[in-house]
Amino acid sequence: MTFPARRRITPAGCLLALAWSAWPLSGAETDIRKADDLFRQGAKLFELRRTAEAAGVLQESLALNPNQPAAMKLLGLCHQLAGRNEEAEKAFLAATRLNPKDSDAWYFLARQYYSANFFDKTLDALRRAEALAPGDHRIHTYAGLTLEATGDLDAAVAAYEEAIKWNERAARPSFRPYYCYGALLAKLNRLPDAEKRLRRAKSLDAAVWEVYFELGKLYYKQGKRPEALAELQAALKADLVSTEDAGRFYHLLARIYFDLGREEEANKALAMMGEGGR
Amino acid sequence: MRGAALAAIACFAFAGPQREEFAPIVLVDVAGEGGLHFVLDNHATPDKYQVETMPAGVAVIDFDNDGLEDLYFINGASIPELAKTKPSYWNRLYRNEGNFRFTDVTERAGVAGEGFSMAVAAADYDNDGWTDLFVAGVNRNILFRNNGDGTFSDVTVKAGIAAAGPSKPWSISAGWFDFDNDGHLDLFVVNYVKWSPTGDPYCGLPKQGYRCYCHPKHYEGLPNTLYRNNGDGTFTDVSETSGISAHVGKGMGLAFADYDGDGLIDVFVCNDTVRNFLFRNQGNGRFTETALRAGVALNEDGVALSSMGADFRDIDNDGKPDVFVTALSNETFPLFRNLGNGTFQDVTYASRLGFLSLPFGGFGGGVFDLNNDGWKDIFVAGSHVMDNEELFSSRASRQPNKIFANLGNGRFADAGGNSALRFHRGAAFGDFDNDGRIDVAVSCLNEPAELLRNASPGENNWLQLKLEGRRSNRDGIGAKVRLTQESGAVQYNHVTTSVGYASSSARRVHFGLGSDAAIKRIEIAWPSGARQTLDNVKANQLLRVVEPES
Repeated sequence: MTFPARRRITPAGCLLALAWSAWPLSGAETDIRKADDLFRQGAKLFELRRTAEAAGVLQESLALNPNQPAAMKLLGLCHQLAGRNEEAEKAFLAATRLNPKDSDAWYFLARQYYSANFFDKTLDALRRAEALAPGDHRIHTYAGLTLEATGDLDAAVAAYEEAIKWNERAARPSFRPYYCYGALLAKLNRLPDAEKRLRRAKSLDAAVWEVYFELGKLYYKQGKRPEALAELQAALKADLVSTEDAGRFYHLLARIYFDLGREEEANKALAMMGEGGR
Repeated sequence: MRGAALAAIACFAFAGPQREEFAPIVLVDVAGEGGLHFVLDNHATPDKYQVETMPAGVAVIDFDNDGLEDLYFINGASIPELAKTKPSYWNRLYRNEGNFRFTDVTERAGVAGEGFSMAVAAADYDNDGWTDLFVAGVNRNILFRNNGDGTFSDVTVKAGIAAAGPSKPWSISAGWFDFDNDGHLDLFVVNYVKWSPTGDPYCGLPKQGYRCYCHPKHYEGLPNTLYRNNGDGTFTDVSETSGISAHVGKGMGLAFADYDGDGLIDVFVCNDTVRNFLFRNQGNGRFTETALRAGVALNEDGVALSSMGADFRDIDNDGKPDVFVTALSNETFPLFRNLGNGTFQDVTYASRLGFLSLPFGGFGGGVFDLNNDGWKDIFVAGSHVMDNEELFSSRASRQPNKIFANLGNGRFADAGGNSALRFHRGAAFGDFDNDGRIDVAVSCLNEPAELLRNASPGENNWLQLKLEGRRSNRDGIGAKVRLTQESGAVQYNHVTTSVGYASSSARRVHFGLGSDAAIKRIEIAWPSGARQTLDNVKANQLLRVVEPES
């Protein structure tokens, strides 16, 4: 998740602000100030993951001053995290209208469309984002995911490769383009290529259980059960698997144990699935 | 789209170890031309009663034993009454007059049915040589016994299979098989969820047109029911003693096969968004639910899909029945390859079915050799479960049927199937004109049913077997067939009518033979344990095979 950049206040800006503060404020100016304060408050709450409260404060802020693209964008994120898809879409759309040159707003809008399976709209939004920030690997990664969903696999491969190209130039490369690309290559049965990308993803972020899971699946497919088991055990040891994902994780673990003839451990893994697989 | 070719002809230049070419598959909708004008009336309302979107199945049967496959379509009812208050709700029986011409004989046959019907399972349960019909529905199941004179009698109560009182479930699929190999067909009834016309929550968005059918998570699941055939026209509910009712699911399609080769028929049940079931027949009247252990409960990601229909058939000619499942858009249609050690491998993506099926949703489906090239292909009756999906995603509500051609190398190719975009539901398979090419009947919500005549070009040969049991059940259901072609190629199939979703296919066993004009050997393993061998059989015929008495 990317947080909106804080406003940078220059020394000159501070002087100007002080000078302005000496004058009595009009009602509109007061509202703008209050709105700005509320936005900061909302941003802080969002950072603290108190998204419901953040949404409330941001809505207050926007009621006082609707002309705040950053607040609108953050409100969209709050809605998105809460699963309020329609509200999230509206907020991101408003953010893009308020500042059509904000690539993040287009990117967030695209993610919203993708999560709702509106793939054409996703691609349109991603094109707008890419035109503004061609070097943003996140945009290319989402393009890859979307093109996968539409069945345009060659284009998806190209998008992921573009994402990786830009990602490698980033100060802190993300695991995500490698993870997504690796998962696609595995589906395309290009298993050695998939392994290479997934291992790179793991080297960039060793705290993402999905990468271990994909590697586990990959080795399992290849009949390399000890290697598959090692990946899953590593994720377990690092305590990376959340309760909601446990069902999927333990399902694969059980399959591997069964294949290895380790019935007792397999049954334990099945028991750990609980309702997760339902 | 009457008379139009439904399937694209696809041939690729490359041929070799990674075979990419396949004999064309062409299906043409001839329903209207032949007098088949069935429309499934599901009583669609803005209230989005859950039952509206789930019907219904279709059966391919030869009810009058004239050698021509007939059709029986299942239908809805008014809601909330759940009654067939007008003829548009009747189930319909169509007699095949030949040349794809059909006559509606519902009234004379007495099979219009009652209540909100969902599914049909056809078989000769009383071994009298006439195919009977079991109709599953919402709170009301019916067993129609074929009187052999073109009429049927409702024997539900007499047979002891009328669920009573509050225990009446929403049954959604059913199938006939002989689980104890005693020569009498038993009945497996799949139940969906607890539902009443007054119990649907509001799902979707609170604005006009945005109400939608609810996710199954809003409803409590049900166990399935197994009736043992007593051999005297009555049945005993053995759901509890067999272990079947110990497992609560949200059942949809079911399919039968002896997946572990122990001579006992096992049961695969699709569940909607919860784990699928694989009931392994232990041979002592009990079943073990082993889907997780076997690897068919969930997909390779450990996710329970909206599994709709299933076929359980050897798809790669290795003699081990594989599992094919239909599901909804964005989920793929999973294919589980039987590894022969009691477990299956999810080969959905490895077989290419993953990306080929990802955009599509499907209900009915089946694994049949549609171009007679010796490799069983896949047909799916396409549709989303929602009728307003476009408001919620870029996937379509009305969808085409899909055909995936088996390339014979573990992979599939898109063979078209770009039929009319409809709410397709059940699909049943059979050869209506006895030309050796498998045709398909498809039911559609509120639109004309499709009768897809297989008009695939090419000179590929074929064989169909109509088995007749003596010690085994008369339909030969459960009999396994191993066929060795002239060229040495070997294929496997088995007798079953339980295919896809809520539907019942012809009981004949079909084989495509490619260019082979003869069969070296046919080996049949009957449910009774009898083995039978036929040598040097000519291709391109429907062969009746009677089980040896001893």
